[in-house]
Amino acid sequence: MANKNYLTGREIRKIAKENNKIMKRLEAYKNRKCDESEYLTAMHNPANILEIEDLHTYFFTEQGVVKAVNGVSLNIPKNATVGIVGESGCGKSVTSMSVMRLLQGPTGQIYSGEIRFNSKEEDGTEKVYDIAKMPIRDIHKIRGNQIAMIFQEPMTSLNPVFTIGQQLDEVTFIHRPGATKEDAKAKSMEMLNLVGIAAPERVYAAFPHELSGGMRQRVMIAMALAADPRLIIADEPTTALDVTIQAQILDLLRDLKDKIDGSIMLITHDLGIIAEMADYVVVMYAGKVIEQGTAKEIFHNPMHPYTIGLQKSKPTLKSDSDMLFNIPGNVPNPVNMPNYCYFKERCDRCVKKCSGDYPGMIQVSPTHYVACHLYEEDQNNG
Amino acid sequence: MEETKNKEELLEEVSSEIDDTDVPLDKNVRLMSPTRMVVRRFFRSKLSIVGLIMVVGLFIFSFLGPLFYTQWGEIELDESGKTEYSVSQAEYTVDGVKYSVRQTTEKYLKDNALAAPSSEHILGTDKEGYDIFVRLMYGGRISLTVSFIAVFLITALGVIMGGLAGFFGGVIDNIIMRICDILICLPGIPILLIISTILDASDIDKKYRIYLLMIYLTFISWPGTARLVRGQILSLREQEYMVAAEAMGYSTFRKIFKHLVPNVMPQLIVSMSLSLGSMILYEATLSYLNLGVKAPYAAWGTMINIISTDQDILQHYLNVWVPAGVCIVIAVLGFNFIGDGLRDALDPKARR
Amino acid sequence: MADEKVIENYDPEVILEVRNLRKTFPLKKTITGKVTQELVAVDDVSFSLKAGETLGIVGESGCGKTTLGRAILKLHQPTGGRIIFEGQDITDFNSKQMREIRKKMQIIFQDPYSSLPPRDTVGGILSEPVEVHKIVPKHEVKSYVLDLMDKCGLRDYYFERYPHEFSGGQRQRICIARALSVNPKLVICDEPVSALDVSIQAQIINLLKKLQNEMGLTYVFISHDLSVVKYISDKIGVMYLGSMVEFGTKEDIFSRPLHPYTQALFSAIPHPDPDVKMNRIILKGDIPSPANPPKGCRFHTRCPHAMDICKEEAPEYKDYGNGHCAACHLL
Repeated sequence: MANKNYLTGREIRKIAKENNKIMKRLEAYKNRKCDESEYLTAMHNPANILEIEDLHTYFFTEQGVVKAVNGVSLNIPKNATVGIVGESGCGKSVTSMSVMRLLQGPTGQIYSGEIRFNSKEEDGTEKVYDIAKMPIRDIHKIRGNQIAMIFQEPMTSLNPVFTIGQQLDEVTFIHRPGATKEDAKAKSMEMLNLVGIAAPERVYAAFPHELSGGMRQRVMIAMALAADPRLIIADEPTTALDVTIQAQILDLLRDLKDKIDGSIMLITHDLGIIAEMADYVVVMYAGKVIEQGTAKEIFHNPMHPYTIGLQKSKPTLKSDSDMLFNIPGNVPNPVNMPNYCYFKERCDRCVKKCSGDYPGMIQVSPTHYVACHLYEEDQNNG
Repeated sequence: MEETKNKEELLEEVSSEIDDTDVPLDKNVRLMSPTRMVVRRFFRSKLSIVGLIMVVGLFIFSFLGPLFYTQWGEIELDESGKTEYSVSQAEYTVDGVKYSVRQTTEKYLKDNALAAPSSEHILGTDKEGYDIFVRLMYGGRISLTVSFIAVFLITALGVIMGGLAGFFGGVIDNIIMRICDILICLPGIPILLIISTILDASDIDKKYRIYLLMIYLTFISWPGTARLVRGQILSLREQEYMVAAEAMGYSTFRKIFKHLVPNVMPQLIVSMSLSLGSMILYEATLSYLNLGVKAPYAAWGTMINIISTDQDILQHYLNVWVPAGVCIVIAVLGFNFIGDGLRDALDPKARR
Repeated sequence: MADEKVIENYDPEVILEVRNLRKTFPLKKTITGKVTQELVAVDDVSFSLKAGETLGIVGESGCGKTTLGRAILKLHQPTGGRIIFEGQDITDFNSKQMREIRKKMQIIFQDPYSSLPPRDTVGGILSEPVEVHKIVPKHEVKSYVLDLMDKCGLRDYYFERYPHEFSGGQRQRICIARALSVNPKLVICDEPVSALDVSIQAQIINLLKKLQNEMGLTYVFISHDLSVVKYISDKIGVMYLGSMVEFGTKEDIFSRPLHPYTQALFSAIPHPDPDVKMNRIILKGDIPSPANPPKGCRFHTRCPHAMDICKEEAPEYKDYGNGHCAACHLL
C-alpha cells in the first residue's frame, strides 16, 4: 500500500478534522439570524449591478480543500452582458452558484470575500446587499426575483409533474404577492410570447416532457424573466442543445438583451458564443481570473498565454492549417495549489519569474487586466 | 523591431532553462485509494461501527464461547437435583374442637430446572434444566449458520437466474421473470406449516429439519435477488464500456463474469447483509412457531417459544426468554446497520 | 468461407463500403411480436471509404449518425443493405465470425467516463484485449502495453491507476489506446471530443491525426461539430433524420455546400470574433422526431427554400460531379 498517489489514513483523518472545524463555523454563520443592517453595504461604482471582490469559495472534501474560486474579483455593469469563459473545473459555475447562494452545504462554502448586489426594492429605492454575508434565510429577498438563473440542462430543470403554465404562474405568485390567477396567466403568456414561442396557449397547458430541448430552454428563459430580474445568470444555456437550436436560442438572448432592463452574466466554455454575446469577457483558469476586458480587447488583443492558446486551439471554419494548436497538459485540480502561476507548466512562454509568486493583476488599458509576469515590465516602463 | 526580437529570443532561452523536474500540478493532488474510500465512508457512520461491533460480538460469543465456557453442554441437563418443599395446611373441626394440621411435602426433582442466575448458571436454567447461557451460544450458532447458508444460496440462485435473464433478455428473461412472479405469489408461512407437518411425519433428524426448511425459504426468496441483479445488469449493459467489450470481441462468458458481475457486487453485498437480518428473523419465527429447531436442540426462537405456553415463565422468569430476544434484536439490528453503512460506502453517487 | 458471396464492382483500395444501409428499431409490437410502428434510424445510406482516409459524418442529435457507426461495427444488426469490409460481406456474419473481424474494426466513444470499466486499472483495461486476441506472446504483453501508452501520451506510472483518477482528456487517451491495442485498420470515432474542453479537444484531434499517420488507420469520425470534422476528414457526409443529405470531399463541401441544411449548419457555428457579424441562416422550429418523420423531403419543415414539391416527393440522392452527392429538389 505504499502508493504515493494515495493519501494515508492519518492524512485523511487530519484533513477531516480540520474541515469539520471550518465547516461548522461557516455553516453556523450561514444559518445565523441577524439584522438587515449587518449586510447592507455600498457599491464602489454605482454604475455596476454586481461587484464581486476577492471571492473565495471552497469545497471541503476528503481529499483536501478544493479552492474552486480563489480570489475572484469582477464587476457586472448595468445593462451589460459579461461573459465568463473557462474550461471545466475553472470555477466559473461555482462563481455563479456563490452569487445565487446555491452551494451544496456543508462541503461547499463561501470562505471570504464580498458580493455586492444593487437591489431594487418594491418601493423603487435601491439597496445594496452583500450577498456573501447574508444569512441564508434572507436570501429570498434577491434570489429568483432580483437575480434569476438559466441552467444548462433544460431536460431536468423543469418539474415533470406540473404543466408549464403552473410552473410559470408560480413565479408570479411568489414574487408578486396578491396577484390573481388571471394576472399570473397574463404575465405567463406575455413571457412565452417574449421568448418567441409560436403557440403559447398550447405550451402553457403542456407538460415538460411534451416539449423539445429547445422549447424547454425557451420556457426556462421565460421563467427566469417572469420576475423582472435585474441580473440573469445563464450557466451554459446552450451546451445541451443542437447547433441549429443553439443558434435560435442565442438569437433570442441577443434580442432579449435589448428588450429587458437588466444585465446578463453568461457562463460558457465556447469562445464563439462569448464573442457573439458578451460586452465584457472574464477568462478564468483554476479558480482565478487571469484576464478580463471588453470583448474586443480579449479577442483582438489577447495577452495571457492561456487566452491566446484557447483561441488558437478552437477549430474554426475559416482557419486553414494541418495541425491544430494545442495547449499541452491538463486542467489542474485546485487542491494544494502552489504559490506560482497555475498555468506555468502548460505555458509556452515561461520566464524565470514564473516560478516565483503568483502574478498580480496588471492593468494594460482602462478596461483590460491580465495576470501574467510577461507584462510586468511593460507596466513599470510605461 | 530588433529590440522585440531580442526580447523574444531571451524569453525562449529562459524558458528552456526551466525544466519540468518539479512536481507537475496534476501530481500535486493525491487521491484516496478506492478501498480506503470505501472503508472511510463505511466508518464515518457511527451506526455502522455499532453494527459491526454487535455482529462481531455475537459471532465470537456463539462460535468461540462454547470453546471456553465448557461447564455445560447444549443438551446437558443439570441433574444436581433440588428438593422442593411445599407446605399445606388443613383445619378440622372434630366435636367442636378445632385442629390445625400443617403438612410439609418434600419433593425431590432430578433436574435443577428454573434455577435463578448464579455462579453455577450465569443466566439460570430453563424449564427442563438446561443452562440458558450455554444454550444461547449454541442457539446463536444455529441461527447464524442457517441464515448465512440461506443467504448464500439465495444470492447464488439469484445471481444466476437474474444474470441469465438480464444478459440474454427475450424469451429467457420472460420465462425467468414469470417464474419469479409465481414464486412471489406463494404464501410462505402456510406452505411452511405443511412442509413442517410432512417433516414431522417422516423420519428426519431433528437437527437437520431446520436446514430443509431454510432450503425451502431459499427457493421462495431468490426472486428478490434475481430482480435486483437483472435490473442492475440491464442498466450496466447500456453502459458504453459494455458496448466497448462487445466491440472488442470478447466472449459472452468473459463479458458476464469479468465485466458485469464485479460491477453488480456492491449492490449484492448490501442486499446480502440486509437479508441476513431478515433470515435470522425468519429462523426465529419458524422456531417460535415450533416448526424449526426442536427441543432438545437450542435456537433463539425455540428459547422464546416457551412463553407462548407458560404464563408463569412469561411473568416471573424473565431470565429464561429475554436473553434470547435480546440476541435476536442485536443480530438483526447489527446486520441492518452494516447493510446501511455498506450501501452508503459502496454507492459511488453518494460521493460527499 | 465457402458460401462467401461474390461482391460486384469491388475496388481493392476500398476498405469499407456501405450499400443502402438501413436500420430500424421497433417501437410498438403486437402481442405476437409483429412490429406495428418502427423508428427508421438509418435510411438508405451508401458510401465507400479508401484505406487511410477519414470520413467525417456530421449531423444533429437523432440524425442516426451514432446508429450508423454502430451498425457498421455490427453492434446493431442492420435491417437492410450491405456492409463490405476488406472485400468481405460481413452483413450476415455470425458472432463467432465477427469476433475475428473485431480485431480490425474498433470504436471510440463520446463519453470517456462511462466507456471505461470502473473497477479495473488502466494496465488491466489495456492488456485484456491484447491477451484475448493474442496480439503478442504473453510475456511481452506488458511492454507492448507500455509502448502503446507512450504512443497515446500516457505516462507509464498510470499503469497501476484506476480510471476515476483521470480527467476526461486522459480517459479519452486511454480509450484510444484500448481501441488501438488490437492493431485495427478501421476506427469509428463516435464524437470523441465533444465531451472535452477546448484545449483538450485540440490535443485529442492532433493525437488521432498523429496515430493515423503512424499506423495507417482509416477513420469514420462522427461529430455534430463541423469545424472539428474539418480538421480531420478527407470526405464529409451530412446526415439529417436518418438519411445522408450531402456527401463529398472536404473541399467540395466547404467551398460549395449544396444542401440548404449543410449551409444552415455552417452558419450556425458561432465565430470567435466579436467583429464578424455573420449573415446567419436561422432554421425555424425543432428537429422532427425520427419516429414520425415528415413526408416528402424530411427537411422541408425547416427549410428556408421549401417548395410545394418538397412536401410531396422525396428528392433523389444524385451525384453532382466529382462524387459530390446531395439530395435536394433545388439542384
